Order: sequence, then structure tokens, then C-alpha cells
Amino acid sequence: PTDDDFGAPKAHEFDRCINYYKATDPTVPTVLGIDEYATQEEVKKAYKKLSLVYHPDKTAGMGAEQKEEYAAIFIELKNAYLTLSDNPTRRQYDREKDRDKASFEINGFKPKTRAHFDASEVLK
Amino acid sequence: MSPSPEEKSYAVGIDLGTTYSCVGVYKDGEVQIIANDQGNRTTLSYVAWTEQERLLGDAAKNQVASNPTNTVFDAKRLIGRRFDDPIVQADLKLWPFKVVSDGSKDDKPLIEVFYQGVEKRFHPEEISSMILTKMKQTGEAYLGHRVREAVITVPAYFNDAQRQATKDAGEIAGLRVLRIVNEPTAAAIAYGLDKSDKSGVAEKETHILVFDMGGGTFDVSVLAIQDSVFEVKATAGDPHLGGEDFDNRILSHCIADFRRKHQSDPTRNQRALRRLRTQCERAKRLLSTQTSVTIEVDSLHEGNDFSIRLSRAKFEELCIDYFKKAMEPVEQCLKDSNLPQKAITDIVMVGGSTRIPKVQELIKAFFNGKELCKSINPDEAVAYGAAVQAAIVSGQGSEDVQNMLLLDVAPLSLGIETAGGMMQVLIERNSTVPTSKSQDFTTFEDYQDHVDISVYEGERAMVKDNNFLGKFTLKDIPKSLRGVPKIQVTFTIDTNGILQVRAEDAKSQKRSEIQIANEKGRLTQNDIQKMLQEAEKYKGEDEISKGDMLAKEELKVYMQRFEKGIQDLDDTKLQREDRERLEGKLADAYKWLENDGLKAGKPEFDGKQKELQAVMNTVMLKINRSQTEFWDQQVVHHEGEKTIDKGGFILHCGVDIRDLIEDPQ
Repeated sequence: PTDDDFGAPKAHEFDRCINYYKATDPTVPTVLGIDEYATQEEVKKAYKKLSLVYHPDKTAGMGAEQKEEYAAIFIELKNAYLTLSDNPTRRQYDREKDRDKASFEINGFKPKTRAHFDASEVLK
Repeated sequence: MSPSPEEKSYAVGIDLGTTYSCVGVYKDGEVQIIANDQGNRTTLSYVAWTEQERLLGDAAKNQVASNPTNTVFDAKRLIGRRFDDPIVQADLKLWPFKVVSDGSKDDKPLIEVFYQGVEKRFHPEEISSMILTKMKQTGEAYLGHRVREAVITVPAYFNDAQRQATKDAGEIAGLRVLRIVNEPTAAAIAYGLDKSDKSGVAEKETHILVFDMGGGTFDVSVLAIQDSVFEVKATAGDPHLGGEDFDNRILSHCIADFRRKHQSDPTRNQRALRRLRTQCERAKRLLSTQTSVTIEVDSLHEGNDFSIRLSRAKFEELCIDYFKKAMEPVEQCLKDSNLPQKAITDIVMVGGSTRIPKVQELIKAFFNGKELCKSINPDEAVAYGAAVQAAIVSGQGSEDVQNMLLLDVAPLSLGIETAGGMMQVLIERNSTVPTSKSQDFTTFEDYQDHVDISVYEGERAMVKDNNFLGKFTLKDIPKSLRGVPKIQVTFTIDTNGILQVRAEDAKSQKRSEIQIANEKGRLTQNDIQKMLQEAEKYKGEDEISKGDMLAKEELKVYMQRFEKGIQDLDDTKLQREDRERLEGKLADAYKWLENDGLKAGKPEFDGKQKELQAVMNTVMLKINRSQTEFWDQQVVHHEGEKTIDKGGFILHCGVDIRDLIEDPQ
């Protein structure tokens, strides 16, 4: 990574409170359920595999409520993919995550983590 | 929830084209393209009304020469547009049927026909729905079951209004529209299935470019295919470019030639135009395989036969600007998808107009001589893909189809108006649908208690250049200083590309929302491709191109007045040499309009008009000068006043008539 990457325009405005990676703490939800050092190929694979489950085309025959829930999940998956599939944006995301982690170690302020769902189950 | 056998219904895929439509169904693990009652796998998108009955499809076209004003086609070029749309106004002149405005605020176009002696008016949606009904019946005849659900395709570059209007057409035809799918995306499915049949499912991601040029619309899409997931990367196009435009060019060329040879103008003779147009279309098709062709129509106009030899080179010359224009979206699409040219592994050609050798040559040259993929049928690929998508969405079909997924995009940026008429984009173009995006806004003035939220689509910086979609008001915001309230605006697009906008005041929890697609009677902007290009070029080009159109119309109107003026002046006033001079000028102007006038801009049109005016003025001046010397012009029309008439003659010889006779008054 070069310095330019961190100043490069983001491909997507991300929310750093959402955890896209598999965390060491199993209680933390993760969106894409991939490793922090996953390659672009793996990111793409995970996104497409999860899309096959959560895309609105795949929810025919479900109840309206479940359809809506799945659609919201799909949008979150897509946001994760947009962030991680662009290298400069991914580095900026990683850096902000790291900064949060460091600030937790120094002043004990725990960064919020949230996600609407956890992909680790689906990908097993 | 499996339906009982008698209620069993299939979901079909319908390619609703400008000139041809096609229907397919996924059945027993494969796609069947269904032939109509005439045995054709594609059906003409024509509707006709005769004295007795309404005709659909091929039957309608067969009688077009004898009934041109009641045979309607090209409904796709009208759907979702306003009557005052310049494109509609330009097309209007080429259509033999009559299109009128509904006179309402929305200014919707209506098609007027005579049916059983009664004047009837139809919305373009109704015409499209009739064609859809025909396709539905074709499907039902083949399947032996009711068809209740369908996936209908639209050009990727259709805007919100055009998509919604197409969906409405489906509903008018009694179909539940499962999905509106983009045509190039549907074609990509056909390509993908074809490929996976031959070489197994590709593990590695491949990128393809779909070049879809049909009868009336033109689209380009770049897709990434991996593990039977089709992801649209970018899309671009022109909603008004296709085979019909080429037909029009040939037609203009022929009319100009006819005028030159026979000194008579067939443009008012609808029947002649129709016959000539059919021959031009035939010639265009033949020129894809032959290098030259003869257009022949017996007794075209006023008993004159018409015959012209058209070479492929001449045809290419006539249409080259269209062909070149088609390369711009290709470039745009590659740029938007962030892919280098060499990343494209295959170029898929879809739509009848891609058979034109020059189009193939240009795109091949663009990709440095890369071979084009021609393994799929350009006429049926879209319906094929739509049928597969229908099976996916309705949950029918085998496992390999169920494992397929299509990730499509929204073709235009969407946003709201902010202070100073600026466009604040919330959803960027080429975002995968469904999608959702929120942004916080605040008030502009102190103690503002409501905000108007205007929603637009388009790529320009100022909202006035973009297409207005709808407006709503969020009321009862707690009063506070400007900049304090926090209003969250959320845009949500579903898989059909239907937009929903919601605004919420964070403090009072007041909400307000609209579903754009349900907003009837909103303005529909048209030339989206133009909007895209203009965003990159300079501002004010909107006015220029509109100015061109207006200047051209003004010139045409002037030329008609000019023509009438010559006819109204009788030989006593207008000398023969002057008449010949005026007529010569007019013929020149007509010829210019047919050839150079197609590419000319406002200055040229204005210049031409000035030129005509100058000639007319000198002649009129001459006439008027001689007339002022007549002490009373009207006596010419009186009987028994022949002396005066003669007097005119004498006057011409230089003798003042007033010296010869008394004042009759």
C-alpha cells in the first residue's frame, strides 16, 4: 500500500462500525465472514455465494417479512463487497479499524461493532 | 405451495421490441422460443385497425400499405415520454399514424386511429399491452395452459418512467410482471448458458461486453460472469438509436432522388411513403449480405415509377454518424466498469442491427480486431434470457437454473435538489440493485417548519438539467435555527428499479415518503445518453440541440410559406424568370434539407432561411414597386375593367396608366 491509497477517493462510503471480517472474538458478528487477509478472489467468492442466498430473486415463496429482512441483508453484503473489492477503500477501512482498536488499548474506549446478520453460519 | 394441475401456469419471458417481439418459456430443463400462429419465432410489434377488426402482429403489417394511417407501430418509442418531447416531435413527422397530446398537464401522447368509422385514442401503454397480449396468447397456444406471469425486458437505458410504463402495459395485458429485466443482461444469460453447456461452468471470472442494437434502441453492458453469477458492472446506451433510424436515412435519400428525377414530392402521400419504407427496410437487410441492391417501387407517386441502386458503401455513408455515435457508449461503459479493454474476453452481439457489416467492423476495430461472439441468435437471445430469468424468479426450473443469479444495476444516478438548484446524488449510477442509501440534510432558513424534497435522476450537476421524478413535503419540523434540524433522506431501489424515497426528521420522528414509480404524471426526460455526454461536455448544450431542432422547424415552416407564396402570385405579378428563380431556390433548399440539413445546426438553418428570405424580398420588392404604380390593384379582378389590366401591360412598357383613363371612383 502506498500513501496515495489513503487519500484516494473511496469507491464506497463505509460505516467502520460494521465488521466485515471474521473476528478472533466469536461473539462479534461479521458480514462477509472472510479472513482479514483474504484475497480479492476470496472476497468476490464470499459475496457471490452469499448473494445466491440473500438476493431478492432467491426469496420467491417466502413471507413478506422474511423477504424484506433478506433484502436488507443483501444490501449490507453489497456494501461490504463495495468496500473490500476496491483496494484503496479497503486499506482505508482497515486503517480506521486499526485506529479504533489502538484507541481501545490506550484509553479503554470500546468501539461499537454492529451488523444485521452474521455470515459465518451460512458459509460453513 | 404447488398449484393444482388445472391451475398450473407458466411464467414466460417476453422481449418487447420496437419492431419485433419474441416470447420464450423455460420448460423441462430448456428454453423454448415459441413460434406464433404464422409460424414465425418473432412477431412484428404492429397493431392495426380495419373497418372490421383489430389486427395484431404480422397480420397488421401485411395490410399496412392499404391502411397506413390506422396501422400503429413504434409504440416503444413513445412509451413513457411526453408529447412535447423533441424526440417524439421528430418521430411524429415520420409516422403515418396520428399522434396527439392528451391536453393534460402531463402532456401524454395519444395515438389516434379510426376503427369502424369511429375515432379512437390509445395510450402507448395500451398499444404495447396489445402486443403483449398477442405474445401471451402465443405462449398459451403452445403450452396449453394459462400464462399469468411474465418477465418483460426493456433497454438498459430506459429511464424510470419508461420502465414503469412498460410494467403498466404488462398489467393492462393481464400479466403479473415478475420483473423488468434489462435487455443486454437477458442476452448475457443466453450467452452464459450457451457457454456453460459447451465448456462447463467457468470457475474463473470472465468479463463480457454485450452490444445490443435493435430496431429502435441501443444498449451496451459490461458483465462479470463467475460460477453462474452474472454481475452487471456498467451499462450505457442510447434509448433512440437503431435500425429504424437507418431506414429513415435510406428513405430520405430515396425521396430526395425521386424529387430530383420527377420534380414531385411524395412526402404527403402516406401510402407511397409506406411502400417506399418497406422497400428501404428490405434493402437495408439485403445490404448486410450483398454489396448492392435495387430499391424498386412501381407507380410510387403520381404514376411515376421509382428505382434506385443503393450500394453498401452509400448506405454506410448515409448512416456513418449513427454508427460512430454507437461507439461512444462502448467507451463510456468500459470507463465506468474500470476495466481495461483487454479484460473483455468476449463481445456478444445482440439485436438485428448488429448484422450490419460496418457496425461489426467498427466494434472489431475498437477492440483491436478481436473476434465477435456470434454463437447466439441475435433475434432470440433476449427472450431466451428473459425466459430463464422468469424461471429463476418464479422458483420454477431445474437446479442449475436455480443456482443462477443476476445482479443488475440502476442505469442513472438518483438524488435530490439542494440549495441553489444543485443535485445531491444519493445513489450513483451503475449501483447494484436492490440498494439503499441514507444521507442527513438540514434546513436552509431559520424557523423553517417544512422542507420540500424534489427527486431527480441524471448525471448533471444542476437539477434543471436532470429529469424530475417527484416531489414531496416533510411538514411540522420543530422550529429552530437553520442548520439545526437533522432530516434523514433514504433512497431505496428494489430489483425492478422502482425507487422509494423516505424523509424523517430525527427529533420529531415525523416521516414522509413517496414511491416514485406510483407518481403518475411526472415529467419524463428523454435523451439520457445526451445527458450523460453533456455532463462531461459543457453546459447549455441542451439549449443548442433544442435550438437546432427549432431552427429546422422554423425553416421548414418558412419553406412551406414560400412555396405557397409562389403559387399565390399569378403570372401578371410574377414574371416567369423570377418564378423560375424562386422555384429553383426552393428546390435547392429542399435538397439541402434532405442531405446536409440532417447534420446541420442552428446557424446553418438560420442562414438558409435568410438566404431564401433575401431572394423572396428582392422579388417582392420588384412586384410591389410595380404595384404601387397601379393606382388600384383590386380592379384587376373586376370584369369590364380590362383596360386596367391592359394598362398594367402598358405600364410595363413605361407608360403611366393614369394618363390614359379616368379614376373609376
